[in-house]
Amino acid sequence: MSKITSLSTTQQEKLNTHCQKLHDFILHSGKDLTREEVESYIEWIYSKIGKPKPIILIFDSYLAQKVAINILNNNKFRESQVESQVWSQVRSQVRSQVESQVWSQVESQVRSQVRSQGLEFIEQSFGYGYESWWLTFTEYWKNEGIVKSDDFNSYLGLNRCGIWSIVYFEKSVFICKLPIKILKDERGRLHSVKSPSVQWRDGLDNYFIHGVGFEKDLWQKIVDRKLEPRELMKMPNTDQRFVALNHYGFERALTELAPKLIDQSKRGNKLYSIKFDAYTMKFLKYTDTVNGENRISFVKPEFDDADEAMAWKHNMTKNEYQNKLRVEA
Amino acid sequence: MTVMDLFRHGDVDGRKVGKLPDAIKQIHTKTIIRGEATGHHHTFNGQVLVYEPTAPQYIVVEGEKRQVQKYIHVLKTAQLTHQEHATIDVSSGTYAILQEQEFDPLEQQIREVMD
Repeated sequence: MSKITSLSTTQQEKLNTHCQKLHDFILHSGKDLTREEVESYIEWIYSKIGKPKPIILIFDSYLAQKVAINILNNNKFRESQVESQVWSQVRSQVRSQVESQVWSQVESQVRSQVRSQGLEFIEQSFGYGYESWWLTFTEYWKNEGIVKSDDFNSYLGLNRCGIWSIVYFEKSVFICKLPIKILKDERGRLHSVKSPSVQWRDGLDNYFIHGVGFEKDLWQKIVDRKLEPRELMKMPNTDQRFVALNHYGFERALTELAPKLIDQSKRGNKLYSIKFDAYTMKFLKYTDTVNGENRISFVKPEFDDADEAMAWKHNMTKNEYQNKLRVEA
Repeated sequence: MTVMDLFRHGDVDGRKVGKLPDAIKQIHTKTIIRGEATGHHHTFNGQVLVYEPTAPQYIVVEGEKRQVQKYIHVLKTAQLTHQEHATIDVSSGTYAILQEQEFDPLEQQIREVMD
C-alpha cells in the first residue's frame, strides 16, 4: 500500500469535521463512563504488559483522582506505577502499528490543527486528553478504511468510554471521568465569569477567565468586583493581573489609586507615581503588543523617564530600546 | 537583511551575544519560555538550537545583573511563534534569552514577569 503524503481538499474538510466532533465529545459531551465499559479495555491493557487485571478506581474530578494517587503513594499501600510499561508495550506499539500506515508529515500537519481546536489546555493541565490529537487523526484514517488495527480499536475504545485522565499502577488504575461541562469564550479559551469553566461531577471545579486560571476565591473576588487595589498589585502573575484589572476596570483602579503622571514618551509609555500606605510606587502604563489594550507594570521607584523604565523592564538600555530594538511583538 | 541585536516577543527578550558560554547544555526543544497561567509558549520554527545554563548565568545591563534563561543559536533566520503574539523573524546569530522583569512595590524587590 502506498503511503499518503498530502491531504486533498476534501480529506482536509472531512478531517476538520472529524476533529470538531472529537473536540465536542471531549469538551461538551459530559459522557459519564461506567465500570462495565472500561473493565474489558483495562484488562486488555494489563494483559499486554503481562499483569493481572488491576483494581479500577473511578473518580469524578481530576483533583480527586490526583489526591487519591497522592494518598496511595504516601501510605503503606504504595505501588509502583506501570505507566512506562503501558507506554512502551501498549501505546507505542499501537502507535507504531498505525503510523506505518500514514505518513508522519501529514500527521504533524494535522497535529497543530487539532491543537488549535482548543484542546491545548488539556495537555497542559489535564493529562490524558492530550492523546486526542493522534487518536483523532488515526481514527479519521480508520474511518477512511486505511488504518486497520484491532489494537488501535481497543485503545481508542478505552478513550471513547469518556476518560479525562488515567494513571496506571501495578495493581490499581485511577480513572478520572470527563467533566460535565466546559465553558469557553469566543476565542476558544476556557472562560466564564458566572460559573466554573470546567465543571466536574463532585464540584471540584476549575475557574478561568479568558484562558487564565484562578483559584476559586480569587476568581470570585474578581467577578464580584470586590478585589482591593492592594490585592491587584500583589498578584505576581501578569496574565492574572491583566485579566483582573480589565474586569475590575482599569480606569476605576487608576482613579482609586489617584496616580500622578510623571512622564510619557513618543512610544506611548506613561510613567505614573502613586502613594499607597507608606510606599511611593511607580508604574508604567503601556500598550499591549497583542491587542493594543492597556497594561500596567510596576517599576523601580528611582525611574523618572517612561522609556528608560520600559527599557529596564526589557533588559536593555534606553538607547537600545529607542534606537536598536527593531523587532517587537 | 536587517542585523538584529535585540528582539522582544511579549515577556521574552533576546540579546545577541558573541558566542555561547561553556557552562550550558543543549535541550531538545524549540520552546524557549512557557507561560504558567495560560500555558502559551514562545517556540521557534526553523534551524535553532536551544541551550540552558547548567548554573546561573547573568548579563549586566546598566550595572544590573540579568539572569539568562536560555541561549539560542539561530543557524538561519527563524520564526519565533506564540499563541497570541505575532510571529517574528529572528536573524541568524547567538542570543541570550532573558525574561521581562518588573518591580514588586510591596516586597520591594525585582521579580521576573510571569505570563
